[in-house]
Amino acid sequence: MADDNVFGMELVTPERVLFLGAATQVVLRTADGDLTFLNGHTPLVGAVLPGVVRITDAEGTEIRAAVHGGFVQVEKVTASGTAPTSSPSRPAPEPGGAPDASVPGSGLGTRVSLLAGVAELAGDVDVERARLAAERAEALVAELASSGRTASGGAASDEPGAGDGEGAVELSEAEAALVRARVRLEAVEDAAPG
Amino acid sequence: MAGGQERVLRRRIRSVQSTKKITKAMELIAASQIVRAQARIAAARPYREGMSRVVIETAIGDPTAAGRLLGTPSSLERVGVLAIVADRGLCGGYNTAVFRATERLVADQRRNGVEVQLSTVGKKAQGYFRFRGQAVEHSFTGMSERPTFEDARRVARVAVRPFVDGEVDQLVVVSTRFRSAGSQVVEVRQLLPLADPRQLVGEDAVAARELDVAEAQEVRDGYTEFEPDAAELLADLAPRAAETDIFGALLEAAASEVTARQRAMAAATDNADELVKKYSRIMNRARQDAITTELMEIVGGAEALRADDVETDGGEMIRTAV
Repeated sequence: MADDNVFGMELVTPERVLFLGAATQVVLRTADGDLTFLNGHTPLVGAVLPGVVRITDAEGTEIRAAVHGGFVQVEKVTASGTAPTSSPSRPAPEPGGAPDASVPGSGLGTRVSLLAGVAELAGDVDVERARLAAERAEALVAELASSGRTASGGAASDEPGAGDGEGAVELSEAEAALVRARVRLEAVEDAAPG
Repeated sequence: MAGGQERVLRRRIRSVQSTKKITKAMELIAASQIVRAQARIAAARPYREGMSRVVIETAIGDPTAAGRLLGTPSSLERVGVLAIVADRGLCGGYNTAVFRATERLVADQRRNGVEVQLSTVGKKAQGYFRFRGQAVEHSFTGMSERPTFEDARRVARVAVRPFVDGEVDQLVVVSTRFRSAGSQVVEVRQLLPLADPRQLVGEDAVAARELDVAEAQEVRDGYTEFEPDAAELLADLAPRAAETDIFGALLEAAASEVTARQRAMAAATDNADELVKKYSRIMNRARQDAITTELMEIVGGAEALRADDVETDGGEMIRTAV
């Protein structure tokens, strides 16, 4: 609370918490373009597109993460450290009013939660692997796109309604893989000079 | 001949002992996996909680947007069922309990004229349902003990699509809830439509929240912003939330599985101990019997020889007989 500009920020994936703590600025990508969050941002729920997320922490260090889609929620956190969602009619529920260590930015006015199915910090990206994956995905997308509707291909699946739909699924998966690889590379490349 | 019985018992003891070594090892492995499985549940909690906060926020933000994505479906014609069991056996009643709950659910739905599309996770389910002639739409294997989020995504893609496409009115999961190390229960839960926030945080909370929103709207337009709008967001959100729930269910099922296995293997090890004890006792008695019989034969034989000697002496016979 010493600094007016900090707010609670969490970047979580289903498998682990990538960032949890105070931040002064968060930039992420939505359908409407890049959004920047500062302390005191209006409560918001939004869909996040695959892209690089930049978190500036309380010390001013920028942390980059490749985020492959997800959701962001900005909440006003009340003085007791609980978000209004957890029932204002029952004042100070389970945490007993005491600042709860598990709630990021308790005692801070705003909390930004970024939920991503798949995400990694720039430092954790395997550059070589991402580059290879990008090349592979590019080739696959090109191949699938050219073969177009003549899908059915290798996968001997007994799924009902396979055939035509499967080619489309394969293509969209290949495209998704390409986007993932590119986002990873972008996260690293951005980070490299800075 | 008596030695024959002894040999049979000795062999059986040895076989029980080697089985015991296996069950003991499995018990220890399972015990170490429980800790890891619990840690994974804990690691996923922030995401699951965040997801449910987002869903609640969005659902309350625009109650009209919810539509068929929230609450209880008004009419049921077709329902998707996802049963989660283990890839392997040797875990006591873990699989059976889920099978039974699934069959009960399927039978109930059929009786009400509801069509059921069954999908399964776990190798054991394949064999079980095939043997019983229950059609299985999709089955997944190779993830039951250590499910990753990627696994959950694969399952979700297949399980959620019929709901999104409107082919089924409801998606239900039958799996084992990991309440604590001491208590796991089979649960039938509705994944889609998503739970009504009224049920999640309670009527009062929602009412208060709506009031809040209304008040805020008077002050300035919109309390919580939605990007894109709430309806679109919710449509986006529903499959993701279901995916998260499936991941949670998989994690809890995995933890329950290893717990059940640890318990089953501990019981098997105890039983092996008991068998070894029992067989050793029988074997020792058999051996003792053999020795006693042999001794009796020797003594008897010697006695008989002595008696012959005494008899040839004449006269002295009575003394020796005493």
